[in-house]
Amino acid sequence: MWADALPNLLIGLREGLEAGLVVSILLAAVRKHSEADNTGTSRTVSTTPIWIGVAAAIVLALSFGAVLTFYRSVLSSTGQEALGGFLSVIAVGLVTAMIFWMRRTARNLAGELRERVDQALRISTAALALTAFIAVGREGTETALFLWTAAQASGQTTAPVAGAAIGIAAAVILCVLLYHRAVKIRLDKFFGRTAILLIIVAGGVLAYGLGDLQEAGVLPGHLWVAFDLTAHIDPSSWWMSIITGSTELSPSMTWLQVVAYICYLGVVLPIFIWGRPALTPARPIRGEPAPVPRMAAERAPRDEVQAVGRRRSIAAVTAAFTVPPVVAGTLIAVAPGATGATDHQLTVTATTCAQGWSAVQAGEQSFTISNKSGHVVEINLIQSASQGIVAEIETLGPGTRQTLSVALAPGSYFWRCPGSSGAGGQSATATVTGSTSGAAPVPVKPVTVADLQPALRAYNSYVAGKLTTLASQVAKIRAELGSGNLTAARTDWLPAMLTWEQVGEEPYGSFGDFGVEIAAGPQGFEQGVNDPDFTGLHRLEYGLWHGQKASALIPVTNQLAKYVTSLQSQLDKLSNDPTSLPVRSHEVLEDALRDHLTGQLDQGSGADYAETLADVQADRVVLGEIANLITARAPHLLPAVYSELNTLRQALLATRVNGQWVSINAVSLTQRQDVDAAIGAVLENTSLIPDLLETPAH
Amino acid sequence: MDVSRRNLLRGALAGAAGTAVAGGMLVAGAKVDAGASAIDTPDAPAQVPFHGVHQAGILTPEPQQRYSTHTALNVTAASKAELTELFQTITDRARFLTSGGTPPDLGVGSPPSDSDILGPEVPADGLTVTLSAGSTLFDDRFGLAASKPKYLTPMRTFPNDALEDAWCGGDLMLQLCANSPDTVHHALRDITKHTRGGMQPQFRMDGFVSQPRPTGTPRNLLGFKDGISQPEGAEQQQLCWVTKSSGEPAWAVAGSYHVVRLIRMLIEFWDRVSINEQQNMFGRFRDSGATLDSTTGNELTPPDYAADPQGNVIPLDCHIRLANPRTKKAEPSRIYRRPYNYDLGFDENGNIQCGLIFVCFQEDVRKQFEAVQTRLIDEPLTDYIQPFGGGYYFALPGVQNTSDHYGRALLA
Repeated sequence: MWADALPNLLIGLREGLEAGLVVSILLAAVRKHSEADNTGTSRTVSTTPIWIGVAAAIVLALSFGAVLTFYRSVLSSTGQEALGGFLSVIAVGLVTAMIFWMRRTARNLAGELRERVDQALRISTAALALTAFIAVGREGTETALFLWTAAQASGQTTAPVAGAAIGIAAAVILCVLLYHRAVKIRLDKFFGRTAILLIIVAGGVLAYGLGDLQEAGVLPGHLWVAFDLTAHIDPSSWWMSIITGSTELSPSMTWLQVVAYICYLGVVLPIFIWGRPALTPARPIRGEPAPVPRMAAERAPRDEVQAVGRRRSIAAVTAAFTVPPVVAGTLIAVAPGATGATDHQLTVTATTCAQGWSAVQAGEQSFTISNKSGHVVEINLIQSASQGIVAEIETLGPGTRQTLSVALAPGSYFWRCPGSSGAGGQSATATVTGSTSGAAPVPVKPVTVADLQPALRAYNSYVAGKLTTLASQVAKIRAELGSGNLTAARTDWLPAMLTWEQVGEEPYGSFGDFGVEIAAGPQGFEQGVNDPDFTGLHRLEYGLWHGQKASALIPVTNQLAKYVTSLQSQLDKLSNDPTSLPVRSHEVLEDALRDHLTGQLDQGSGADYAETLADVQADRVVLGEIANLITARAPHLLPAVYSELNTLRQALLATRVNGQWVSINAVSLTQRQDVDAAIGAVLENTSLIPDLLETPAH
Repeated sequence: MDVSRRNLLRGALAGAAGTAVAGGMLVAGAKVDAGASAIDTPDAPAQVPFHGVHQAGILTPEPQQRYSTHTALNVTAASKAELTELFQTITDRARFLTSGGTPPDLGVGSPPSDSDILGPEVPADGLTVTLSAGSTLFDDRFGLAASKPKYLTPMRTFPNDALEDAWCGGDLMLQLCANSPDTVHHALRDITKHTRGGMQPQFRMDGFVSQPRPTGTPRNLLGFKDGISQPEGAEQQQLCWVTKSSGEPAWAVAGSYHVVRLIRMLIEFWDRVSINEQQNMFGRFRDSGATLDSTTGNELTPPDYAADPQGNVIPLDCHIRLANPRTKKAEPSRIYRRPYNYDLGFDENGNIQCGLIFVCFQEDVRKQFEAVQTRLIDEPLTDYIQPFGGGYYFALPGVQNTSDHYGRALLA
């Protein structure tokens, strides 16, 4: 990714050096002028106007950059592409012109500028400031534009901005050194060589810009792809990032991009290299012979000086400093209301949760959260009034970032990083102002494991009761088999099966292997119904309804009794995860839908609907244990669920023939569909519960 | 004067050339844009060579065609001679169908030779025919028991499978893939028409590959990008094909173990699960396909499991981590996947019946598919999927030229 810094480093260095040289020359000229004057009169010329001009130019460039950045963020993605593409092409034009201008002027730059200083001094100090302002402002806006487009091309901000900053800093240092004659460089060589690199980068930006214009539909041909390597190479590999970062080329290009790139380089590079006029070595900036004065007619008439009064120059300086930011502010203010989400950057560090959190506008907002804490974090956005979570990222890996979008209602909000040790695990509170047109999400109060603990205790004691019943029911079947009474065993099998279903446990649930051993079907075993690992209630069912002898089923029943006893003794140890309850309140019926309402688990008894009804009872119990937690978060949910469970119960009972349960295949399509409809309706509602009662993950 | 005239001429030429190039690029681009909206698979080749050392439809074409049918068939031919005849017929039909052409005119004494559903001129349309043998072909009917590939058995039942006999096995697996569904249908119709006496269907499942949404690897019906990480280049060749050093019967060299698994996806249940849970089950972000530890948001960036040994970011039991732990030890178990989605009406309980036709190819089914599938036993995703059919087959070596036919070395 740091390869993305290269183009901007180059731009920063070069543009910075150009601007710096202009300033250096101006300073030198003014100093020389003062020295010359001092021999005759006592007039000393201040260099302050130059610095005022420079500062004003920097303000202008920054304002320009702010407008560019802001306008991009409020535009639609197509608009962003069109704007980005258009500005890229302009930037390439400007940079190309600049390169050639620099080559033409490099030799005479000092001379031209000194002459302008002479003129300016004849007019006023304001004119001197203006000269500095124009020279630096021109480079500055150019830099802002090119930096912005290069950052667009690379798709990120950190590396390009850092690159530009390093480049500019290096340029400033170099200028200071040059000015004090601490170093000498062959400026013609420097500009000549960096120009070639710059032309290559500009070619990439041109290709990128044209690609954007094609994406936006301004230019045709975005489907006329010359090559697309994205499927074959990893764009984030180090060597790809060096290539794409330093050339601004992408691994997928259209023919227009390719041809434009080749043509640009093919025309501009040769002209630059071979069309180059012979250069005399650049001279050190200071101590140059005074430039040969040009035609006197170019000089400003003396009386113009009087026309520029002191008041006007103050006004000009004030204007130079205030107009660009005001214009920029106005442009931003009148920008089409931010309909798209504005992206805010937040950081989680070892000691802070959501650094960078500040007041934002109500409405759709997006936050890109970077985790620099060195460990995994969860982060929640909490509404102060309700203490409810309105948005969350459950797992944010160290060194990664994720974007979260949320429609915010006005009010106070803060971020919480549950489980993170630093800074109390939460951010300061900031205010969301304005109004929202759309509906904001309902905040969800967080749930802790401790909140669920009483529910688990209640559930476990309920299960313990059911297991006692089951043990006695299995013992009864065992006795009947012992006396060879298979009819009685068949009759008593269903109550035992239903007792187990009322527990509400799934085969692969929290009871470890007991769920499989007590109640799994033959699916998943190599030898199916004949597999020695097929055990439990459904194994017994298979034998009872497939004419197996009592003597063959006694070992099966003994084994079942053993499993039930073991589970009784280990229940509290196994069923120890309170967070499984909200999941179970939903999944009890998901399992019924999958296993019973498809007839998949039936081993001959035709008890699928009876078992589903037992699951309904189990679900009511589990829902009852966590009802207060659900109602505190979604007051209208449980009444709806209970009513739908009643409908389901009625639909199930309606499938019986003469009070007897029958297998699914014996039930009419209408009645089956009533059952399927009812269970589907319940499930769509209960599926909210695991999300509503989700506890922090880490 | 002379100089400026030359400059003028030069300028005019450059201007004209520039205008011509720019205009040409724009017009050509607009044309391609307009054309592309009409063609839905711009990348799919119109014709895939039928003859070759290996069969097509395994590693070629790349990307795989968008439509498929997987048909398991039982051989009804009574003898080795009849079986040979059956294979010759399938070869002839496949050769014609994959290259396209005009079906013969059988004259007034016969119904037409072709159904005409692809028109009078049959287009190749990227069709590939891939024929594989199930373990039951090597029973005592044709005297092939001694030639059975070493590891070819009926498909193992894994825990959490809910296999239905009607959807399993078959003496042969006929995999047809093409750029359009009618081409697939036409090929199956043509091949079964010509082989009625020799083989009868066991099961059939039609499949499709979705368009990239919005880009990159296509998504499966759980909404996740599927098939992102595949072996490539030399590793792909090495993992896919049986060679002389594989220890298989000589005829099997250049063939490949072909696993087909029909996996129902319980999509109603899946759609009722929170996004966090979904992503933790896969180990990837649903929107981008990037792994959960991704700093780039790019699906192709490999996960860094070494940096996350506890599975705090990418859970240890998530699908991608179990399937491919990206360790040296697990490397030889990699498989080449060629999956299709299926969508087949409704289940008994009113749920949409759909899922994945998981297809993979490998040199050694035990060391590769079974090793991967063993690691996946009891993964959290099992609650939402239900393998109910399929089988192990052996993709025969390719038909090399016009005098060659399927299984020639096997039946010699």
